[in-house]
Amino acid sequence: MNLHRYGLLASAIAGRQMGVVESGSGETYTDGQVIYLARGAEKLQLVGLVAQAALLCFGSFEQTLIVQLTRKRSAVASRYLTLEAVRVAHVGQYLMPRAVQAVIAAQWSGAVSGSPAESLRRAMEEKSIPALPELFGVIRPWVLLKGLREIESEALSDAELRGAQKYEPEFNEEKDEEEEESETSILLNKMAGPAPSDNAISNMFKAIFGVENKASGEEKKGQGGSGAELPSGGAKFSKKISAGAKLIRTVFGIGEPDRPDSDNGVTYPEWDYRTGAYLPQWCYVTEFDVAPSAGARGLAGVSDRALRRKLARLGTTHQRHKRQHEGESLDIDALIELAGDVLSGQSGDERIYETTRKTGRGLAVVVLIDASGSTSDQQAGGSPIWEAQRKLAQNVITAFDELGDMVGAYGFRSYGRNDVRFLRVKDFDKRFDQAAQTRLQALKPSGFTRLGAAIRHASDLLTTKAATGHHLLVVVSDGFPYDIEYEEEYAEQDVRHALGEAMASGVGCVCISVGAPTDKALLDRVWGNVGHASLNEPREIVRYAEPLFRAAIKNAAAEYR
Amino acid sequence: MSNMSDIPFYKQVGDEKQIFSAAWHCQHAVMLKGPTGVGKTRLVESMAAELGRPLITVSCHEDLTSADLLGRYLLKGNQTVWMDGPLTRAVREGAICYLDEIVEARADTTVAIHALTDHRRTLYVERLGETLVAAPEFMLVVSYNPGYQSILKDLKPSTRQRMVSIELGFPPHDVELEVIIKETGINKEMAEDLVRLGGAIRRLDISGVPEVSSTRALIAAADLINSGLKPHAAIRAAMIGPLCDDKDIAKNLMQIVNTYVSEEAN
Repeated sequence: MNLHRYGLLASAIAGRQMGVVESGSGETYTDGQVIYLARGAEKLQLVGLVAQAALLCFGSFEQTLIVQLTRKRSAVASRYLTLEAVRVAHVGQYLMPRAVQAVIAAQWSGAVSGSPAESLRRAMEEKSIPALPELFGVIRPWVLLKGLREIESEALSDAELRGAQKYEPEFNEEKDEEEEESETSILLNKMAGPAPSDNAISNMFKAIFGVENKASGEEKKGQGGSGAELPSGGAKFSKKISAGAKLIRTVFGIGEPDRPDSDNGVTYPEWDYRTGAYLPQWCYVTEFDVAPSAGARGLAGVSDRALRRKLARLGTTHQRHKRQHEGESLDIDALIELAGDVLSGQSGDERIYETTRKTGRGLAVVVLIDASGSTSDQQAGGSPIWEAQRKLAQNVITAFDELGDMVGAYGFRSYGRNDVRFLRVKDFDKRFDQAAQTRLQALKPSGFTRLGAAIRHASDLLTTKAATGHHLLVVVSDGFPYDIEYEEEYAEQDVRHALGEAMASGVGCVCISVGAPTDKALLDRVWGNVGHASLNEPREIVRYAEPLFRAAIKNAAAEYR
Repeated sequence: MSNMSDIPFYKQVGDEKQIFSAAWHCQHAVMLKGPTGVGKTRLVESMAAELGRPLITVSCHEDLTSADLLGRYLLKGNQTVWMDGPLTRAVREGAICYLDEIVEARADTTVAIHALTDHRRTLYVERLGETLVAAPEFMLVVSYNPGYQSILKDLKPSTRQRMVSIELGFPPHDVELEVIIKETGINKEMAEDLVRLGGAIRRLDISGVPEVSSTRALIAAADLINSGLKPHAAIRAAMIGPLCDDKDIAKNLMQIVNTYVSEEAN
């Protein structure tokens, strides 16, 4: 079931980027970045979604509190959920939809906590607090911890992994062995009945949503019995892939396969420095669509005004301005109109001059993102190079797109010379919209880096699809060419040659690496003729973008003539 | 003394009315900053009425010349007659001159106001060969939407520095609620739903949705609902449609609308 349409709703409430996918375990919960929705009637799903997103927004899932929950029984988490849902409905009066607020308020009318910490304390002490009905979802402390730490890019230690495997099944147990009193709420018991029309919950749902309460009916197919049972749909252990397995997956491209766009690829020659001649039709390049990925969230980064300001002065072309008050030449049309007006006894428009100013946008850009397996290595800081590259590419694309320039964006990778792939993220003629953003996020590293073929194809795209104006090719990569039978000096010389070809056809080339440890000497050898910059973080681009790009465009224009 | 009911309704959020009034008394120019539809024009109208001054509004655009502001000679039969422009009139009469969206005007036009906005308070009209000294009650107000313009069209620092700035943003929930009810007479429940919806959309802040729902859009939606349109259709027309052109985003935004506003009118 495609739940992507709920993504915006979840993000609006949570106040940050959220994804929404179907829950595999039959329960609704969140890991801080994605909300996993259990199946059910749409209106009831929405209650769970809104509740989980609102809890995220108001600090219920703050790390120090969740850590404490991992050491307690699931009953405490249930009570905490109830108290927090009630608190959040109270403070988030203007945030949550009316209908959901009413449902939450009906659950329990006791005192409202002043803070999540207070809720936690009360959850531990006051055993009489009821649990919420299923549709609100559950809290999964270990999942949240993992999610929060992934945001901060910390790996779980082995002990924590073992801990995760030990504690997760608890949510699927029907009863705690050691506690005697029932954990289920009065409301759950009410739902256990055959939902007569005078059932309080049923009426409330009918009044607010206009539907019957189907939750107790739907889940119980084949189980028959009270609504007090929690679904036991298979505990999902999320394992961390071992480093070795990861390597194999990335190198041999196992995982999300690219979907081929068509069988029509293009061949390009390759330069063999040993013979001093081209190997004709040596590489085969095909364009693919980026494979959709579950949970890929296409929400954009914030636009960077400083970067836009710097890039705004690039590639401006002369534009004619008519009907000016002053100018180098006369605007004949305006002059004729003025003469006509004056002769007929009216006053006329005195703006009869014409001038040219550099205000037109005449820049076409292709952003190439190195999507090879080497980028999934960790940076010094911890997060993979790939993430930093993607962020950098996103910033640059957004800035140019907002300025109104033609921008094409492609991931690229290769598996040998006969399989060089361009993964289409953004077309020239479309804005950097939701779909394009989602594709950028769905892109995954895999394969190798046959830079020469990539540069030739990108340059070709620019000169054919964006024929007039200035051309700029921005390669976001560690700059290190490597493929099957494509390495060391052979590869370096081919890339230098490809860059020279691009420049000669008027395409300015630039390589920007972020967070990658490639040695400076190599970068100078390969990219020294054009331009390159090594950043530590994506936001450093603001400093380098203008001079780098401007020099590239200028040099290319010089060579072209 | 003007009747209270003649003064256009403006609900204050912070201390913007005090700042405006103080600036007028001290003879300083005011720059109103904020996104579209949050009440910049309404504030000026309200203050002009309260201070008892006439209001002369100019909507600025790229073709606006200094002649449009200062005045020009008109041919009437065989004679030429000087006609004051809106700025000159305001200067002579001691009115409040409101230049709306001043960034749209070209920089060489904007420079004409520099002498008016510093201690000189003079306006040099070249065609007349006259330097006018502004009447003491004269005030210049400009409005400016910082987020909207492309970088190439920003307000020059030398212009910005001459003015007192008032920053307007989206009003807090209770204020927005009151404004919607006052302007449209819609029932409180629907007004609350609209305010919540507006708040949710504003929290999104994603590219593809460059401007977010303004108070004006919420009022338009309420008006349409009042005149009999079903809530979702009214909101789609008044809020979502103007907001973005991307079909995917619009669809997902309607999902938010569905969740916050029920289709049955209250």
